[in-house]
Amino acid sequence: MKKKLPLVQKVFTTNSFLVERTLPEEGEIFVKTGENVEPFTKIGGTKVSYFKVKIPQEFVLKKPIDTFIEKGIEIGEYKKNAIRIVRLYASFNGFIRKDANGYYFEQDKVNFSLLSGLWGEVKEVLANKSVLIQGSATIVYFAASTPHDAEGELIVFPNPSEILEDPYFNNFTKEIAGKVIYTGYFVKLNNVKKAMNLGVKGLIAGGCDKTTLEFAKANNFALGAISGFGRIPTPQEIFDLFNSVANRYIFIRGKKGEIFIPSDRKFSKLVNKEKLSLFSEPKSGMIVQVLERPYFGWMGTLEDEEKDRFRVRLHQGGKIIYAKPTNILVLDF
Amino acid sequence: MPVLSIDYSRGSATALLVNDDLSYKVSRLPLMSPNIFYANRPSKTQEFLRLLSELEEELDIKIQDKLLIYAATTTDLGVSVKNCRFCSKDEAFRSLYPIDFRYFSHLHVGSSAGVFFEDKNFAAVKKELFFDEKEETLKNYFENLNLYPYIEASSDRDIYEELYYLKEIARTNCPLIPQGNVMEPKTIIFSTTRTVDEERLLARFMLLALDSLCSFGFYNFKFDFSNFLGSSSALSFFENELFQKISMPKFISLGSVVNLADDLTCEIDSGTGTIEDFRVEKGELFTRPLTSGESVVLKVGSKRFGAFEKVVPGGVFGIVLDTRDKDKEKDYPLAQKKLFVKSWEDQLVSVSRAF
Repeated sequence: MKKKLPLVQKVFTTNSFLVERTLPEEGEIFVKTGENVEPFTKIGGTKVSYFKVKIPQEFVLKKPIDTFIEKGIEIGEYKKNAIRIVRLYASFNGFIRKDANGYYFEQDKVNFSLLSGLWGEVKEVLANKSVLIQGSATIVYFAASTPHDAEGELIVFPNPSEILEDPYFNNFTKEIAGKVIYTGYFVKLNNVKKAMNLGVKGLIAGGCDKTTLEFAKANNFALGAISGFGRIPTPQEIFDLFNSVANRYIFIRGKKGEIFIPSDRKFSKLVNKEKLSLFSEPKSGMIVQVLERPYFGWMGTLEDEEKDRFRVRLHQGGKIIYAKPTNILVLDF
Repeated sequence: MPVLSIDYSRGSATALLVNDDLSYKVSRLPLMSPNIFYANRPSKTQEFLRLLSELEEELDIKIQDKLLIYAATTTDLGVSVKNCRFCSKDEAFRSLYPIDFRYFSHLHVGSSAGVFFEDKNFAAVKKELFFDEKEETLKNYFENLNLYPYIEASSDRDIYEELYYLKEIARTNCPLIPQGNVMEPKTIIFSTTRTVDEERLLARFMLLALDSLCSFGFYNFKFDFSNFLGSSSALSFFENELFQKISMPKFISLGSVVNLADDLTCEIDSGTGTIEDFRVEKGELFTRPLTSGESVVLKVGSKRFGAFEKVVPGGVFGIVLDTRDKDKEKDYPLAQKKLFVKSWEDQLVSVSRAF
C-alpha cells in the first residue's frame, strides 16, 4: 500500500472570474464596457413576476382570465361535498392565466433591478439582455451537486444546525425568495421542498441524502453537498468562510460543482493549479478528512501512524480514531 | 517485447508485467478518482500516466522503453498513450473463454460471460441484510463509494453491505436455475480487486462465491487472490497467443462445492477402507474438511436430482454441501438471518482453520 495521502484543496482563489448577469426578461442595461461596478451597482432593469400557482381544474373561477385580482380576494371555489365548499384566495396580487396545462395564477409583474453582484469590470454588454463582468472570487468546491446554477444573497445557518434546521425553515417568509442558503451539516428533503416553495434560489449543505439530490436535480433546483452523501459536517474552515461572507451575493455553478464568492480586491498570491501536488507524505499535524463510517467526512488532525492505520484526533469532541490510509484526505486551505 | 496488461477498475488497478522469457509479475495499486482533486483535478490521461509512473516504481520498469501496454477498462477513458491499446472489460473478459471465472470489485460484478451490472436495487440489498439499516443510508454509502471509489471497507457493516450488494447483483445477473448436466463438475475461478487477507474475510468471500452460482451441480472453486485473470484479460484480448503461452499461477483451491437445494444422503470414501455416511437436510451449509492435496469419492443421493458419484478434490474449505434455498433467505426474520450468516461464516472459518 502506498503511504502517500491525497492532498485536496477545496478552496481556491481567482482574479479572472467571469459572470454573465442576465435580465430575466428583455429590459434596459445601464452600464457600458470598461465601467467598474460594485455588488449593488444597478446594471439593468425590467419587469418580472416571481410566483405562479397552478389552479386545480375542479375549481370554478370567480373572474375571467387575465383579470387583475388583489391579494386576499377569492379566485375560485369548488363543492367538495354537500356541506363543504373549498375556496382559493389570491396570496399575492396577480392575474388568472391559462396555458396548455390549464389555469394558473401569476403574480403581477414587479420592477426588477439587476445588480452586479460582484466587484469587477464590465467586459461586454448584450443590449437589453445581459452584461459580462470580470472580477476576483474565492471558489469552494462541492463533492456533489445538481447541475443547476443559482445566485443570490448568502444566508448562513449556524453550524451545526441539524436541530435548528426545522425551526429556521418553518420561520421562513417570502422575504428569503431569491437567496442562497447554507443550511448547516445536513439538509432534509422536506426542507428542500419548503425552500423551493419559498422561492429560495439554492441550498448548500455539508451533506444530503442521495434521494434529496435526485429530487432537487429533477426539479431544476441548485443543491450542493460540500463533503458527500449523508450527515456530514462541513469543514470548519469552509463554514468560517461562509460566515465571513454572509449576506454577500454569491454564485453557484452546479455543473462544475463550484461556489463563487466575489471579492472586493485582487488576490496577490494565486495558486498555480498545474504545480499543485496531488499527494503528500503524511505528517503529524496535517488537517485531514476521514472517509470511514461512523465519522465519514469528519475533520481531524493527523497524529501518528500505527500499524497499517493512521491515528486521527477528531476536531469535534477530540475523539481519537484510527483510519486506513485509503480512507483519509489531507485538506489544504 | 515485454507486455504490461492492466485491469483498470474504479478505485484500483491491477497490472501484469510479462517479460520476454514469459516470466511475469502482478501488482495491485489503489486508484484515486481525479474528481476529488477539484480545481487541480488531473485529466483521465494524466491519471492514467500517473498510474504508469507508479507501476514503473512498483515493477521496476521504464515505460519509455520498448513496452507494449494493454488496458481493459469499464468506460472509454479517451486516453492516447504511445504503445498503449485499450479495450472494454466486457470484450477482455469474453476473450478468456473457456476459463469460467467470476470477478468481484467494489461496484460491479463481471464474469467470463461478459456481463457487467451497476444496477442499484437498494431495496433488495436492504432485504438481504441481517441488520437494520435505512435504505437511504445504504444508498448514501454506495454513492459515497462512487465519489471516493478507492476507499476501503473499514467495518463489518461496510463489508456486509458491499457483499450483499455484490450478491444481489450476482443473483440478478445470474438467477439460480437448473441448467445443463448438473453432474458435470465445473471449475470456477473467482477474482477480486479487493484485498482478502484474513480468514473471516475469505469465509465471507466464499459465501459470496457460493451465492453467485448460476446453476445447481458440482463445482470446484479456485481463488485468484492476486487478480491475475482480471489483469491478464487485456493481454488475452489483444495477444491471445502470448496469453496461452504463460503458465497460470497456482490458484488457491477453495474446495469442492455441491450446490443442490434438496435433502441429500451422502457417503464419503476416502480410500482408507472406512466409509462415512451422513444426511444433509435441505437449507443447510455443510462442510467437511479436506486438504487441497487430497481427494475422496463422494456419493450423493437426492430425490430431486438423482444419485451421483464423483471424485472430489479438497481445498481451504474442504467439501461444501450447500442445500440452502437461497431465494427464500430474503424472507427470514432479521434475527434468524443474523444467526444463519454468523453460523455459515463460523462454519467456513472453522473448516479453514482445520488446516
